[in-house]
Amino acid sequence: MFSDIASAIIIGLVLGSMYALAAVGLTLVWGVLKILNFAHGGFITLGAYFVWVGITFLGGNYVISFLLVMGLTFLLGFVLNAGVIRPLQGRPESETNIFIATLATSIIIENLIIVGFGGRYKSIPEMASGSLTLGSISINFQQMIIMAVAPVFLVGLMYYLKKMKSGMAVRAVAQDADGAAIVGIDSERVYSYTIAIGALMAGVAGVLLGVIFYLSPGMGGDPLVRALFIMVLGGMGSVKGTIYGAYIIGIIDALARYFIGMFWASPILFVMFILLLLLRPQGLFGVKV
Amino acid sequence: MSEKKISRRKYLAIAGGAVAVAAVGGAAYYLGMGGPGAGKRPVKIGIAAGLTGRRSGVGVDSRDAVLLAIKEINEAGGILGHPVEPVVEDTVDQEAGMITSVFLKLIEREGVDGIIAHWGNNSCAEFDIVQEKKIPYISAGAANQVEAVITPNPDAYSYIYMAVPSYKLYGTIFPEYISILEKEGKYKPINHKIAMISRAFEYSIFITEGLTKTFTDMGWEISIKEHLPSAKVEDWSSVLSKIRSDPPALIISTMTDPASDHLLLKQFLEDPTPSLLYEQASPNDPEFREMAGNDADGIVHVYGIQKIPTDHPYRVKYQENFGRDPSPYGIISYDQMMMMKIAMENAGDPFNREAVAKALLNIDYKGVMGRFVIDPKTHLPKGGGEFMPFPVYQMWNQENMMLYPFEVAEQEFKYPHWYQKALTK
Repeated sequence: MFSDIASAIIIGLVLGSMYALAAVGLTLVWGVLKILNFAHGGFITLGAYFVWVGITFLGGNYVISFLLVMGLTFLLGFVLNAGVIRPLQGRPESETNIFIATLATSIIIENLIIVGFGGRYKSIPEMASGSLTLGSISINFQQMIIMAVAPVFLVGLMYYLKKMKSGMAVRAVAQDADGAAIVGIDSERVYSYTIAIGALMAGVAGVLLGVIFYLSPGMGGDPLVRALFIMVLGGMGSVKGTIYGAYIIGIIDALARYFIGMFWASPILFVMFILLLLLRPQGLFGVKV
Repeated sequence: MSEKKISRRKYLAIAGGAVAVAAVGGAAYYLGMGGPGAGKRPVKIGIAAGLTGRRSGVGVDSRDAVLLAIKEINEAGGILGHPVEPVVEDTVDQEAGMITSVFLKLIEREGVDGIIAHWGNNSCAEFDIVQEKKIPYISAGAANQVEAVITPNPDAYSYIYMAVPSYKLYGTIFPEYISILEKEGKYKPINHKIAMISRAFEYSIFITEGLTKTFTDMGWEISIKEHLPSAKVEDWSSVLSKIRSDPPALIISTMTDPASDHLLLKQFLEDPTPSLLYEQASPNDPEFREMAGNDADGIVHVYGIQKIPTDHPYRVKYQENFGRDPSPYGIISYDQMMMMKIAMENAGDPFNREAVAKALLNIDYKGVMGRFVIDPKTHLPKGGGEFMPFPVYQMWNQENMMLYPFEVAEQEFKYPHWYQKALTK
């Protein structure tokens, strides 16, 4: 019993790590721009495929491939803003149009991947094989890497937002765009790199997802749905709430899988979600308006 | 990547060849000139295959097999002198919307005279279209749904035929084989318990129900039952924890998803139990074999398509043309095209669709995979015995080896590579 609980918590932390990375970029963009970026799923897929390309064609170097993912997704985030989001901002029905345009971007990304790499599953070679056994609990090294890598990025993002000048500008625009403009913050610029940072986080989430699962052109769809769910749970726009929400969901999901069955894990999460929306519509860390 | 380049080049060459022969015939027909198939209208065959979806490996193999058959038919003078022209369409993941739009395009825009698909949509969404438009159609999958749809009124589906037998045999063949092995002392199970893993997918549920009934009738117990909502599983720890705390003799997964089944195998091998692992259909997928490699040595499964020997002329021909071994769909789709050819010839006119459909109903064709005789009650070919074999396979060195029926067996059952180690642990 104890080993099952411990194993479930470990799996919960692994799932939570991936969910947190997938959701944090989405919530950041919502917090600053008040838009739902549905291209996020496409960027998760791109991250996984970029690392696969890096490893397949750059001699299996994880570090270079990882840097490649970060660089390319970050740059493509700027492209997304300049080519899809910014032209629609400030126009009538911009929220709906941006939602549709980003969803279309995700579909385009998926289809470009099909054209470029085909639809067959692909797998990223393991970063590390083997496992660590502590009594009756076994943790494989892949899972340990995920549990270690995700917090680095999450803490890094929090540090950036709290301590660095451009991060503080992001928070300022998120809190009051007009006020930020009065003190000389270029909100267009902030929007641009907020989307780029969101894309980067999605790319990193794609790498971790690709490491334990398999690559397919539509692989970003499920994490996007989970990320939306977590974003609402944590409080729309709250980065801290999203991170806590992701780990809570991860652990509940894993406990449900272990003790009730895999079939019931998702229904349980959705029942919880509905209850939370009824009792606390602003989410765990959201501010009541 | 190099394999992909080779196969694409080969595909283009074969598709180009098939189209070129057909085009010469077609042009000659319109211009009233001589030459191969001169003066003859081309027979257009629609090929609906999932070329870029989750199981694109079988889709590509299926398409290539039909193209190979068409190439041979055209080289031999076509169908009743008419050249055959392939029209290939991608059905991606076989979703109902995609299938219906592809079939409508093939029929209304391309004007095809017959359609071959490795399988359509599980809801049989394409049936009403082909029946209404009177297009002879041969599919090779979703036999359980096809049987359920056609059996109540076969005459209402007079243009629709299958190339794989009833899936009911999935529920009986493997238990029958295990029972024989046990009686002969060739397999000594640690107990009579089964961990049964299925998902919310008609094919999986149908096979799981069949296996569950037969095994429980034989006195086996389903000690672990895990039904999943979808094929996407990021982690199997919770299921494996139950398996490890009460090891069953058999672990049966009817997930039918190469990625999930490979992940199950990978995580199972971290700490295996002395259990046989049965994974439905996935071991046929090229992706599964590539991902699992020799880790999959010893996995068993049943598949309603017979493998052909390494030196079989068709297999050699396929390898020469495409630089790889055909998956089962890379074989059966060749037979599907040949069935269409024979039916068109027996009809006396490839464009008399009603006559072609009737000829399909009465076909008796000895193909690469077996003897195709259609059951008029279901429009499925008869299975087992002298007809289409339903073999039990075991994977060794990335090759599925036939174990049963004994007449087609390539080797005897062997314990999987993890078994002895797990037993002595």
